[in-house]
Amino acid sequence: MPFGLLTVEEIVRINQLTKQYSSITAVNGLNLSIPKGSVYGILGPNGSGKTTTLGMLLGVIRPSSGYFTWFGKTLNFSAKKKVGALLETPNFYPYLSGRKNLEIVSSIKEIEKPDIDGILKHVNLYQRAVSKFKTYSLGMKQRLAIASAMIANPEVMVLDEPTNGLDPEGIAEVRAIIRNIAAQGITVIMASHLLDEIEKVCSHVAVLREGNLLFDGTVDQLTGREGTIEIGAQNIALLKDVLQGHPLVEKISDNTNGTLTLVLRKNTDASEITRFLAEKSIYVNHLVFRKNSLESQFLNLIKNEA
Amino acid sequence: MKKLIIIEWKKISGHRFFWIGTGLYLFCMILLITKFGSLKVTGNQNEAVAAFKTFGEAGFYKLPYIWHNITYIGAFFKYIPAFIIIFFFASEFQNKTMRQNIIDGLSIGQYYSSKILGILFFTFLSILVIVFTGFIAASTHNPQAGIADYFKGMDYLLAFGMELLFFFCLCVFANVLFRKSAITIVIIVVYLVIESITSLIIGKPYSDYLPSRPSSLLITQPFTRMFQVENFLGLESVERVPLRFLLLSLLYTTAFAFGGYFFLKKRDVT
Repeated sequence: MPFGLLTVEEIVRINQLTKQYSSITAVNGLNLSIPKGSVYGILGPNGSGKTTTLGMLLGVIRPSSGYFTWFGKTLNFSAKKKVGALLETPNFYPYLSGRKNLEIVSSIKEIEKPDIDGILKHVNLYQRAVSKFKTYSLGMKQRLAIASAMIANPEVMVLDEPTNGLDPEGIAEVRAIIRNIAAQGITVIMASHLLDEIEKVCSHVAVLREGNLLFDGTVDQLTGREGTIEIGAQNIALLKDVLQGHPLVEKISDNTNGTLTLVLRKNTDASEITRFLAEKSIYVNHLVFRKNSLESQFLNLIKNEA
Repeated sequence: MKKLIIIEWKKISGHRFFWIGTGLYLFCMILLITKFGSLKVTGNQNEAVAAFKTFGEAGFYKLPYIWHNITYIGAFFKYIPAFIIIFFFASEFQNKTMRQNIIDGLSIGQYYSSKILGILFFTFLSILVIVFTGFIAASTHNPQAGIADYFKGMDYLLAFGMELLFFFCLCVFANVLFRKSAITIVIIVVYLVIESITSLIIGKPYSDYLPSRPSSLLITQPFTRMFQVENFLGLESVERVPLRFLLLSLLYTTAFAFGGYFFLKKRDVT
């Protein structure tokens, strides 16, 4: 690859991937490209095709049509070795200890000398290493699943609803582990129906609904598409009057605290507005620029499509 | 191969049921074989053999017939290892550990092979225990026998292995289709009943070609022969395992083994 050319390495490429169950199209002609080093969120309500998509990528669900590649090739053992993954719930042998379960995973992944103790300490399970899996709490099970996905020092981690069903403390723990993983340069592919989770953890996001891709790109692209400004001045009525004529303002609404909320047209800089007001000798005493939250964007997306 | 053996061993050896079940199986088999000789002969026997009070006296441990006799008895217990096999296989569907194995790196073929290796393990273990028990029983009851005498009639060991292997493969095949252990067991029992009824209706020789018939015809019931005058006089020659049924069993075993693989590969791993 020549220097100076900005090419992002692709971990996964998905091309026209479709899964058709007898009457339902769970995933419909999905096209995605997951860049190396990203924390890629797959966002959608329950039943939107997230798990089906991950299941196909991980080789347990047979696509009806379309294809995907890992590291530029079809899914084979060497690719599986580089991917640590868990789908839906943590799946382990309930009658075996946490350590024995990790030993089995290590054997499958052909890891010569797995650092099982180290990884158990990392996810804070070392004390319970010899307890049977079935005696673990949900949070511990989820942490063991992450440990199991990390055991082969993967380049990619695939996590499906990693905080599902956990209590706040468990959620915080798991998110901290995920951020830690991402900080090590590991690409993370994560499905979630929690917007807040995607916004907090992910760099990229694909939004699915009923098997269709509604959006894919960076989280900033999604949240930064439109924004609102909360603005205030001595004379609110005048302010409103003046702004109403401005071409960049799409909508004005009154707030209860005596300020206005402006919805701006795409890619408008807030300074445009203040400069314009200053020219009209209106001096702003309150100015807050709010990026659209992922939640409102997400709801907008879903509404627009419906 | 070594990898698959290690993985399968880690899975089953960690469960108490494997040790208890296998222990019970081997214990029952050894106990019945070693004690069968002292069981009393009851019922209306032919005049010439009425002198025999026990099966031992009737020649249960007599070389070369011993292999036929003990493999027939030993095969009664094949339901125990079959249950163990179904229990572990079904629990992998239930706990979704099969899916995790595939995600972690095994191919479906490798995963299925590890299960077939488990079947082979139980088959060889059973043969080994039969050989071991047979040798000891034979040596105590046939003190003047030479080494060569022990090897006569050993084709019954092959038949025994074939019968077990067939049954285990049938179980795995049904397990792939029905997933849950209880349903699988019920289906197998129902199937075997239906098959026996069918075989009565269509009659011989057609009934011999139904899937489970050849394997059950490999080791015939030995007691009738045991109490025949010819046997008592030492005139009867050793019965051979019917080669036709051996080959047919092998055919059906292979069909079920590959059939299981076919359906496992065809479906989504859920």
